[in-house]
Amino acid sequence: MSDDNEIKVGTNRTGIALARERTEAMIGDTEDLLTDQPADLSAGDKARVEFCASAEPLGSVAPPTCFKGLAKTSSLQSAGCRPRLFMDKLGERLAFEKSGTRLYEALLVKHDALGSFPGGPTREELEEILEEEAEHYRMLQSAIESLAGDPTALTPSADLAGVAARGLFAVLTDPRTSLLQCLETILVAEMTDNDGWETLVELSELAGERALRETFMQARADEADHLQRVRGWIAVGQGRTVRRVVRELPPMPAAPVSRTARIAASRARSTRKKTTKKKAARR
Amino acid sequence: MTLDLWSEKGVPLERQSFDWRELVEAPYSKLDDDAFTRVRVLMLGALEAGSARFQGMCGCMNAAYQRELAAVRRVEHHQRTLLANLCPADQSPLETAIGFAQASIEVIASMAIAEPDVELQNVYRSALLENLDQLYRSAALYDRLEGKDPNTLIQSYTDILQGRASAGVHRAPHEDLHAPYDRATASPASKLHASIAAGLAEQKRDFLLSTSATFGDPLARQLFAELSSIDEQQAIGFASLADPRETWLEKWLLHEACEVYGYFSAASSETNARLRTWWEKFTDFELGQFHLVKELFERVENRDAAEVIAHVLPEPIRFESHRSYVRQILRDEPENHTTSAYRRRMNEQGSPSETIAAGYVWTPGGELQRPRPRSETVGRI
Repeated sequence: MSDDNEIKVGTNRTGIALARERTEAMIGDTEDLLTDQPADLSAGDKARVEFCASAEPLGSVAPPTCFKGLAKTSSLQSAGCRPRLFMDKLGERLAFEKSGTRLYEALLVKHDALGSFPGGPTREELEEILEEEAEHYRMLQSAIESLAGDPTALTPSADLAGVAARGLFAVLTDPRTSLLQCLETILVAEMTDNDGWETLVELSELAGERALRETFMQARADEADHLQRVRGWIAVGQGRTVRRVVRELPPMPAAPVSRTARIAASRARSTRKKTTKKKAARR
Repeated sequence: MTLDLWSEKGVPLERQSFDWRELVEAPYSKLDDDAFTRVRVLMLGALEAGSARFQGMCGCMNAAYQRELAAVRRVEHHQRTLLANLCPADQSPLETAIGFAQASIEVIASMAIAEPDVELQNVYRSALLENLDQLYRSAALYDRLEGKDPNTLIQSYTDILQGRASAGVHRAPHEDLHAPYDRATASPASKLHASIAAGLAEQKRDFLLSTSATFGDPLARQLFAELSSIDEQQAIGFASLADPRETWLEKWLLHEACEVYGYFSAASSETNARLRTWWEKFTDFELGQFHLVKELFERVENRDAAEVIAHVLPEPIRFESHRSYVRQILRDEPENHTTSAYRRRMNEQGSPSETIAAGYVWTPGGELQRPRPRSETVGRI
């Protein structure tokens, strides 16, 4: 086991406390410029607003891979789902799970190099999470293909998730970081992942894709477990207890009703009302 | 379709200006634009960087032209700035490196096919195999480090295949030098190709060098170190193709002609209408700069600029897949025989290109599509 989790006191030179004389020399001649008035950033904000207003979108989702896909898109829209958003988010999750797999591989390398800490993850526990991440992306691939999507296409949200994750890889692969620091970084990924799966559960419900929804709910449960475990390891590593509980999963909603069944039910209600009125009129 | 350098006057230098807003154009889309848009942007940036390097040295050695150099350099620097800002923020350094590798393959393949000098063609063919391998190694890093599919950038235009193994191409410096073309007899295409190839190799080298520190992963840094060293070898090699008897003004004229050729080629096939407008505008800018330098050359050296470069440019560079040609070279090109002492020394503690890409085979969707190794072996030494 290593004591790399202990933050050491050393020659950190970034603050002014270690450079009082130089700092006073810096301020000295400019003292009359110092003010306690808030900084006015409005000019920069205005310029950025103009850039945003004229910017083109990052990109688009790829079209369905076959005619069946066009029909599927139409039926998803009829069900109240936004098919392009659904495909975008499926692509995002797929990209994230693949990145997550590589992140956990990097974490395993870190574990092998540095060892764990008391109460920290065992190699087997990290392997288990890694295998589940891999299973998730395989499942997402099938999901995308079942909706006539192209799982090799990079969706806009997948692209942005990749941008956001760049810092995660930099931390996990830096030989100078400790196992605890890497776990704290992976926490960011796990929190994002949890919300991502929640999103897919709800979108698949809107789309009336029951089988997908159930699969996504299982993945959501897996990720909730990952999050809880990572939080627990971090808390132990930092010498504290986990006060927060993992957010209670919402109760499983009733099985979604198909559009055909809803129309039939509506007609049945309408017929019952007419029958009731006629009977009342005869009396 | 070609362009007549003598009759097309372009825009005079004094009308070539920008404001800061114009220097930060909306970038191309990493998702929606064709991969060759990225290839054109990177190639044109390389040409501008090559010109900037040359003009800097020229100014150091020629006080008589410093005023003209300063004026042209300023505009070229701003052109280069605009080009650099066309790369989108969601394109990481590693993704740009992959873009550079693709550009180095397809642009050099186009030039190799069009190159009339067999000796020069052989140099390009050999470099092609090195660049193919660079793409393969960079792709393996991207896939294995981040779990991403490099083909989302390549768009299936260029093979992701092992070329001439990077670990085996490290040469002693003198082995990078080639016999130059003869400035009096070389075709315009030969002169332009040599300049473009040198510019691309230098820019790729500098890019890998300057972005390697953005990686936390030391193996990624090592790979970039190895690949940029190979690019330095190519930069030396391509630069040696130019006739060293060319005067400073001759070389300056060729640089300007090369930039006209680059932008004209880009405009000929660009699919992004907004960027095509810029390529056409910059073709006119470069024509204006060419004519300024031509006038200077003819006045100072009392020679006809037609001795340096023909009136009519060659056919544009073809920004398209050269898969069949590259595969044919891969099959038929003989091994390079070089001294091994230098290579042994560099590979003494292993080769990062071999380590990173061991057993890598590109698969649609990325390597994670393949059956996974057992987790207990991941990371185990």
